[in-house]
Amino acid sequence: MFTKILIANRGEIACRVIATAKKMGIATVAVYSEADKEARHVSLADEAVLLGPAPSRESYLVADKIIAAAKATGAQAIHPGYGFLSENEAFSKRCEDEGIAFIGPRHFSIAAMGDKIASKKLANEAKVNTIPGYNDAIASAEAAVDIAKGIGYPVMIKASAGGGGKGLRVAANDKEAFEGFTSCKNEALNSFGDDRVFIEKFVEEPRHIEIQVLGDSHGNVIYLNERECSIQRRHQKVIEEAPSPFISDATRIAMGEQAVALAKAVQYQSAGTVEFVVGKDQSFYFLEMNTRLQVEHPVTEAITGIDLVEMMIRVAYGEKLPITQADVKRNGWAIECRINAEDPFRNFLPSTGRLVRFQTPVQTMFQSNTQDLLGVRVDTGVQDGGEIPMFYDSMIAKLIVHGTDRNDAIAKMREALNGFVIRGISSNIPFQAALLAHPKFVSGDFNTGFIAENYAHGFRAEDVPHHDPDFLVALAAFVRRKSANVLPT
Amino acid sequence: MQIGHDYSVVVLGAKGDNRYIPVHVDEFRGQSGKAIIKVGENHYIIESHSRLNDVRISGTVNGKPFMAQVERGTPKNPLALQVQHNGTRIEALVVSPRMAELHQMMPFKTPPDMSRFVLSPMPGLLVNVAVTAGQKVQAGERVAVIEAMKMENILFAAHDGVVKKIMASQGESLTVDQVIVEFEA
Repeated sequence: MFTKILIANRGEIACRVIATAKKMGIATVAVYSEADKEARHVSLADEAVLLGPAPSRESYLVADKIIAAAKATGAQAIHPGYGFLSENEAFSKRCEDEGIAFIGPRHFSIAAMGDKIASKKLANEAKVNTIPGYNDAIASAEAAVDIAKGIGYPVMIKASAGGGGKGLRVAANDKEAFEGFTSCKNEALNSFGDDRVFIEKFVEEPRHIEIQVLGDSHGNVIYLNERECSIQRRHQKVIEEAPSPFISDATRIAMGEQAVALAKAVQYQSAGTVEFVVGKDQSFYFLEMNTRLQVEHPVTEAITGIDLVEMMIRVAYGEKLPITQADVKRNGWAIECRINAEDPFRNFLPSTGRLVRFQTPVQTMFQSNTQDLLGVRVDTGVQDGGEIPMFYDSMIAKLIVHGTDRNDAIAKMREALNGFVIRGISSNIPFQAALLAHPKFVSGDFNTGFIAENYAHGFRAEDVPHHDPDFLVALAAFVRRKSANVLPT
Repeated sequence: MQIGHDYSVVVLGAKGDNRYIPVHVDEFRGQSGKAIIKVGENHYIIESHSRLNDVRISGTVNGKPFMAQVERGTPKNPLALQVQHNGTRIEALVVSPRMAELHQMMPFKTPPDMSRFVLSPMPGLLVNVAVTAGQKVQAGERVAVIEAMKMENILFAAHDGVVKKIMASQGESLTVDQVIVEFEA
């Protein structure tokens, strides 16, 4: 096994990788920018190398400096985390050329999945469902109806140059397709001066559900169930859970098998994620493959008991996967809330500065022991008294709970959010608390439009209805009375 | 059981719209950390052994477990308590009924009118100022762009007006509430 690895990242994910490396007896090298001198990942690692100034493009994105740091410290492998250089095929290739193991997929797998159009073509060849559509010029309304019939209703008729909902029609039958095509074409010409129109399958009440895959260098690929990531704000995931409250066992297996087929088609050798959009009729279509460890990987770790970072390291070293598809478990229910340094009441503006107070809820599950279940886990890269710099992502922690079932997990999450103390900067905890209490979230009845539809005008104090406001008043009186017994009044 | 205590909980509103709620507290066994609290028609039996200097307070309310956050002092009022539970936050003073009566007489100090100024909502880099002095600006028009945490945040004019002065320059690092643009009165 490797004796020393370098983590080419910062924040919570760098800390996450260090935790597993420690468990495996592997020494760790952190890299950091000038803004991160005091950061948690630097103090957790055995060694640390300064890369350069605060902006990412002068530090965390400079491949030369990272390779040099690995060589200088004698690290045999590099874990890229997510973001930064994690999906950079040139960097993966460069590591390989320099004789350093890249703890992630091979460069050709990254390249194959990096291009939207090419990856869709590859998916088609691997018999993975892609959204049926027709991209060529359509001659007449009659032809449009034939195409729509071929795709299957409902379909979306869209102006090629369209945007903002303009030049967009949804048709559920031949008549609507005929009329929709005609009016869409006219609208497109008038609005954009371009009357090209295309037709594709309209996915109703779309959900974002992704499959975690894991491959090794011996040709084995397995899937570790799905993650439901439909709760998004402006295409950024806010809450993730596993399993999905929506898909059936049959859908899960079909999605899993297609994800494995795609991963095999690109000789995938690491942890990766195949993202799908799933319609209300359980139809599912490939969106893209993320060739890296995902932010939301802990929910998969909680329901399967598998340490994904450990698997990535073992696979990068050349080991065979120690488990087969039949060994993959699905126990209980896990939810993750992303805790961001932002003010939900001021249109989610980022919030930076000193973390005057940072107290996580009591942890009973830990990154380095994914066998610990039915508890609370906090993945974070910040610490009490630390500074949140303005140069990087606003996510400062991930709060993960595991329960016996979905309701148990929701109850645990609500309690954990109540016990998470963050002062000095604003956090999205009130927003997360409101989402967790929303009847539609609780019933599992939501899709990717959930936040946009339910918080169309932003998030306000009245969007957090308390089931019993007098309790807060009683609590204030209780604390006042309690202090009266201790302090002179 | 000893004789209870009457309090008034003043829930402080952001615009001086305070609510005055009479509360009665009966204690059991002195300092055992258990009390029955009446708020209007509602009764709460709260038991908690959390230390007073801990922000987190946990225990049971009417037999059910709870976790909440209570701390002393708010930026505006060192005597107020901040109570947070399930995403809801109140700021409240717990005072005697007489003090509550007097508190109602206190004038509310309206915050200064800053609507003539475009302020930086956060620390960040001023990427661009899209207006110049003397320019007429309509509500919703782009005024400035600030970059922080990988995001470009666009500041729009809140209402129509004429730009009086640009107070910050492009490329400058801004602090929170720093004035970027001043409009004519």
